[in-house]
Amino acid sequence: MRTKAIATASVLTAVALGLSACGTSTESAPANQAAATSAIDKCKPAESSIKLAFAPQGTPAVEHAKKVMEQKFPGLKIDAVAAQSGNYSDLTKQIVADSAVGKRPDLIMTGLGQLRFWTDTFNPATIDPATLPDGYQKQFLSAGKVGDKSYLAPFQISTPVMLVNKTLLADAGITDPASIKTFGQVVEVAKKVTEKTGKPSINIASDDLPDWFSQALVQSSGEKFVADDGSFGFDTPKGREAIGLISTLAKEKLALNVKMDDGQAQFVAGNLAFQMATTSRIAQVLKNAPKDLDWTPIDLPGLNGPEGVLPAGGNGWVVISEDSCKAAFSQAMVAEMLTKDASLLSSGKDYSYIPVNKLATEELLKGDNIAPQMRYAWTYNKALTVWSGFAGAQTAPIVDTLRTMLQQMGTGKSAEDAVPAAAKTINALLGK
Amino acid sequence: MIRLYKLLGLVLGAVAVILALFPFYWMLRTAVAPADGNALTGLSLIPAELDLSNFARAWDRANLGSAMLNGITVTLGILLLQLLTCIPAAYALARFRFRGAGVLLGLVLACLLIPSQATLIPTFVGLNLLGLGDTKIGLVLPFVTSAIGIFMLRQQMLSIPDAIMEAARTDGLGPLRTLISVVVPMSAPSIAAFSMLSIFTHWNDYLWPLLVARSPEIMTPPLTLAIFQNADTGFDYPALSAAAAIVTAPVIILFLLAQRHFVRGMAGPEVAG
Repeated sequence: MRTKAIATASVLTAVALGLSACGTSTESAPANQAAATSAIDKCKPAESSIKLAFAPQGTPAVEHAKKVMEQKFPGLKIDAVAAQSGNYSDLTKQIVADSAVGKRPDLIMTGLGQLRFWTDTFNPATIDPATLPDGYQKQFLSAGKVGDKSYLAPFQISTPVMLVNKTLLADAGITDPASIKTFGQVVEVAKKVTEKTGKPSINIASDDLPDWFSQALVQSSGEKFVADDGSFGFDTPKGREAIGLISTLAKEKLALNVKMDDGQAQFVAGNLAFQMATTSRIAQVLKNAPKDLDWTPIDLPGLNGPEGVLPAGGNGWVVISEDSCKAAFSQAMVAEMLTKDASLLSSGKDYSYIPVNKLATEELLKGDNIAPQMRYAWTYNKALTVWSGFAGAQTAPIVDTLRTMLQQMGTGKSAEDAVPAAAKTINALLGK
Repeated sequence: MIRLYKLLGLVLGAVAVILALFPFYWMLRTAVAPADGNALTGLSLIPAELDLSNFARAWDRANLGSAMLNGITVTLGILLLQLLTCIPAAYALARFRFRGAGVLLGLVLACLLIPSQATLIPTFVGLNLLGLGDTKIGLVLPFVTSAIGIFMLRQQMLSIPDAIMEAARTDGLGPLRTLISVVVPMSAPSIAAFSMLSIFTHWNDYLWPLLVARSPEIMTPPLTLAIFQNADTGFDYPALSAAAAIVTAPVIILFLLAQRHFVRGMAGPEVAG
C-alpha cells in the first residue's frame, strides 16, 4: 500500500515538474494595438489612471511631472515606480512580460535602439508635436520617427562623440583637437601617439553597441546606414571605406578594441589619445578623470570630414495605452517630462544627456565654473537620426551580424570582404 | 621524471587556482577603490588608495539588508520544497518497480534538455493567472521540484546495496521509514551537493526575479545590483563590486563549510560498506 502511495507521489511530482518546467501556455498573444489618443478635455481624470514603466535614470523627471499632473488633473492616479535596472533590454523584458498577462503599461521609456521593436510589435500611439512644451527642441523628434510619424518623444538623449586626450595630441603635434575632421587624420595622429607610447592609442567599443557605432561611422561620412527600401545601406564604395576605419586601425595596431567601460578607464588613466563614446558619458569621465587630465570632446570625424547626421542614443517615451483617455493623459505626462524643469532634472549635472528643452540648456549655461566638456553636451542642438532603423522583428540577429562584421574587421579583415558578407546576411534576414 | 610530473601538476594547479580566484580578487580590489574612479584606471593590482565607504553606499543604495533577507527566504524556501519533492521522487524511481517508471524517468530526463528560458513566459503567464505575480510565492513556485535533483539523487539511491534495503525490511521498516532512516542518511553527500547547487542557482538567479518582482520589498540580491548600471552612462563599478562582494560572501562561506560534502556528492554515488 505504502509502495503504491510513494509511487503515486512520484507521479504527482513528475506532474508538478511538468507544470513548473515543461508547461506550455494556451494564452494568446495580447492585441498589441495602442488606442488613438482622445481629446483630453473629454476625459475624466478621477476615473482614470495611468501606469508608467521606466528605468531609474528617469526618476527625478517622472516624480516632478507626476506632481504637476496630479495638480492639473485632480483625481488622476499615476502608478510610476521605476524598474530596478537601468538597462533598456531588462526594461523591455519586463514590459513585454507584463503585457502578456494583461498588465500593459500606458507609457513606457525605451532605449532609442528599440524603437522599431515597439512600432513593429505594439503599434504605439503617435506623438503630437503640438502637445510638446515650450522650448522643446523639435529637431530631436527625428530620432523617434518611423516614416513620417513620431512614435517616440526623445527624453534623455546623446550622440556619438570622440573624446581626445589633448596632452597626447600635443605631443603628436596637434594643438587644436577640433581640427581633426577626417578618419585619415585620426589614423595619422593615432600612429604618432602609438609610436611615442608604444601602446594602442584609440578605442572604438564596437562590441558594446555594434549597430550604433557602425551607424555613427557610416553616417558621419555622409552615407546611409539603412537604404530607403529598408535594406542594408552601406555596402557602397564610400560606405565600405568609412567603416573600413576599424580595419585600418587594427592593421596598424592602433586600436585597443575593448569595451566602452574598459576603454573609458584607459582614457581616464591618460593611456588613450582617442575614445569614441557617447555624450552621455561625459559627466562620468569628468567625475572620474584626474584633475590634471587635459581632455575634450570633439565632433565625430567622418571619412572626408563630418558630413552627415549622427544617430541619437539614450531614451524616450512611447505611449502604448490601449485606452484612448489613458493615452491622452500619457501624452500630457510626456509633455510634462519634457519641460524646462523636468529637463533640468533629467539632463542636469549628474547626467550629461543633451537637454531636450533649450530653456533648460540656457539655465544650465548660467551656472558658474561650467566644465567645457559639459558645455559640449548641453549645447548640442543638431538634428539626429533614429538609432539603426532596420525593421524591428530582426533586431537581435541584425545586431549580431554587425557585431561579427566589426569583430572581423577588428582583427584586420578588410571592409571589402566583411561588409558585403554582412549586407548579404542582413538583407536575407529582412527578406530584401 | 615522476617528480617532474608532480611539479608540473602543482604548477598547473596553482595557475588554475590563481585564474579561478582572480575575478574574486578583482571584485574586492575594485570594491575598495575610491569611488571617484581614479583607482579603477590602469592595471595596478593594489589600488593606490583604499575607500571602504563603497560598502556603506552599496548597502544603502541597493537596500541590501532587505534584499539579502528576501534572497535567503526565497532560496531556502525553494531548497526545502525541492528536497520534499525530489527525495521521494528519486526514491520511487530508484528503488521501486512500477508500471510507467521508465516513462517517468524519461520525462525527468527530457526536462533536463529543455532550456529554462523556453518556458519562462508560459510559466510567468500561468503564475499571473494564479494571481501570484510580484509575490515571494511567485519567486519560489516554479522551482518546487528539480529534474536534475531527482536524477542526481536517484543515481545515488540506486547505489545503496540491496542487502541494506532488505535488512531494513527485515527489521520491519516500511518504505517511508526506510526512506527517512536509511536512504536519506546514506544519500547525504548527494543531498548536500544538490542543496549547494540549488542554493547557488537560486541565490544568483536574475532572469526570473526580473520578470516577477516589481515591488522593491520582494527584490532579491542580483536584482538590486542592477541599480548600479545605467545603459547610457555606464556602471558604478566600486559600488557594484562592493555590493557583489556582500552578496557573494554568504554563498562562499556556505561553500567553504560544506565543500567536503559537496565534493563527495559531486564525485558520484558511493557504495556504503
